[in-house]
Amino acid sequence: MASSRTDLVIGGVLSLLGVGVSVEAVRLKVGSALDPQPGFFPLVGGILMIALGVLQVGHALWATRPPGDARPDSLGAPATLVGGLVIYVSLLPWAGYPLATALLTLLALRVQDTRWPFAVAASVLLALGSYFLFLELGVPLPGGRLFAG
Amino acid sequence: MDFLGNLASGFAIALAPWNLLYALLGALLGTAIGVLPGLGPPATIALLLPATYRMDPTGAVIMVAGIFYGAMYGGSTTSILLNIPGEAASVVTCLDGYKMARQGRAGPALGICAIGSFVAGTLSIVGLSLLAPPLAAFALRFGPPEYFALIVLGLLMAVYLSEGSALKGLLMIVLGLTIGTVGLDPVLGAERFTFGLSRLTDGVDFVVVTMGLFGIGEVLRNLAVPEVREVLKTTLRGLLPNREEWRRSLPAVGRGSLLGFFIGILPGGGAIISSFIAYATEKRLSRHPEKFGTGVIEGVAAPEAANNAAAGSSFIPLLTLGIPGNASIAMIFVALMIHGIRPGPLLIQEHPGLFWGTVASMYIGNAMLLVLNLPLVGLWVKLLEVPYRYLAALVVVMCIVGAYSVSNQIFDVGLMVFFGVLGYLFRLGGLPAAPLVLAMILGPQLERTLQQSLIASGGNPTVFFERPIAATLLAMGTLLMLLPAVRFIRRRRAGRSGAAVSTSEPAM
Repeated sequence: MASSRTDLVIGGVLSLLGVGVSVEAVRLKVGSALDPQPGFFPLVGGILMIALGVLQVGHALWATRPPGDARPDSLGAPATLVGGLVIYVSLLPWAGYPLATALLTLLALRVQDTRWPFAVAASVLLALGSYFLFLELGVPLPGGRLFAG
Repeated sequence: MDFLGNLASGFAIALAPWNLLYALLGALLGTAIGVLPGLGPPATIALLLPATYRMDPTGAVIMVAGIFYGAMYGGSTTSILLNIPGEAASVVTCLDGYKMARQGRAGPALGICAIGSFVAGTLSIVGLSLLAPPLAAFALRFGPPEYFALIVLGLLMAVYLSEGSALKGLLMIVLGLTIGTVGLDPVLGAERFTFGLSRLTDGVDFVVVTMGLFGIGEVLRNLAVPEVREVLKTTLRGLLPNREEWRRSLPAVGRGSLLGFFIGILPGGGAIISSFIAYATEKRLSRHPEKFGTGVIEGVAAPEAANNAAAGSSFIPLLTLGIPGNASIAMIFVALMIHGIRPGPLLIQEHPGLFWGTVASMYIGNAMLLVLNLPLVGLWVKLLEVPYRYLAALVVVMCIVGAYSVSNQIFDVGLMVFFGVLGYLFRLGGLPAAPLVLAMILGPQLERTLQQSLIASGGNPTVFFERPIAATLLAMGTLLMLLPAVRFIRRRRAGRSGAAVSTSEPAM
């Protein structure tokens, strides 16, 4: 019997999420078919999610796993970029788009082994280029409190 | 006469200089993202939506439509020269296309792709021009129960026709419907799942979700599994197939076009599934099926024709019923909504210029793509030599700008990062992201039609089975969901009897 831990986790997590959605839907008030309240539709979704999640758990224990995506070679690079993105979001209001984006792009390029001089030049160019391009297109990007004067 | 008059007025709009420029820009961008593995049409369209805010709606739709069908053309170049599909719809083209290139016949393979795509794309647009108006007129008879049933069927078809596990597809649909309920309740205005965050009262924006799932998610995947790109060094001499290759490929193009057109119309149907079915059909019809996979031109012509025909016809459910059939079309749905245009049966009546202008631009765009893809094929090959890391950095920046520009909120950038991580995890778990986006977009309409149907029928849930169209659509949906279950049970039974036979056989 083949089982898959990933599929078990997927089924389990989504079942739990379904429980959470259903509880919140009940709190919102469900009403009836004649008088549906804000929780009516989410409750249907929550119940379906629980049912499908449980089926997924059963399926993971019972059936062979269909091929998913290729296993990652290393989680280091994606994890670094995700970390960089999280820091970027917190840095953006203060440092502003051009500086924060240049730093993030530098990280994205360095994490893929781009040479320093090229990575620095490309990140500055990309950050400033996109900043002014979108300014022209009517999309003002945050300048940042640091440079607000 | 009406049809020709409408089409003529459409051409007058599409041939306006700005609209021609938008069609060319869409075709160019579409081909580029089709050629480059790692960025698909849904993310590209989502990334470019901010650029369309200031455009007129017709120009915006002409450009984003060009990106979508242009990508179908470009995807084949990568399949043939790299053995990596530039686009998911070109996966099957790798099988024979790359083998042809290795045999020194990359030119005819690329040539038949471009010509087959042009023929199929044009036939599909003819079908779209002829079929859309009567279908829209028919859809005007739909009430809330019919719409509810149609959306349910569309979502189930998106699951049935997508790759991988149907169960996971269904889970993604339900998750998408739930994410779609975040924000204010459409009827009573109560806050749902906002967790006290005022920014969430407007709901979770599809553009933010799409950029995260398809843009950042794809970048993270490529960082985790770096792809090895080796462009086949071959001389592109003679792009036109020889007489024997024409004889074999023309019927394949015809069959691929027909199959692709009809599969593309189905809600949930699309370029990917149509290319697989066209390839399988050609193989079944061939006198030498064993040669498929060794570099036969029919194996390139049929799937490429099918995916281009499907790209054209997948506009039919969007423009006539308001139901986007796949993630790329869903982004075109969003582009229309941004400009205050609701896709559906009234679109042709209320915005004839937009409808016929877009249709006419697709004829023109197809001709542009033929020119872009045949003489300029060398340029696209050069583009393939650009390392992925530069594209990755560009995609990250574009996703950030795109997410921020939705409502000038840094919160949306954070949300996009969250969905990016989720998109990467979905890929690891084999969970398809497209059904989630479709469900998010169609969720509010599904909820509204469900409530309207129930209230109008006095709370009677059998209302959906008392109306013939709704009942037929729901019966089709039920059948679709029963098929994988039946197949699963059959496989288990076959497996068990196989195991029984093998245990009863003496060991060799």
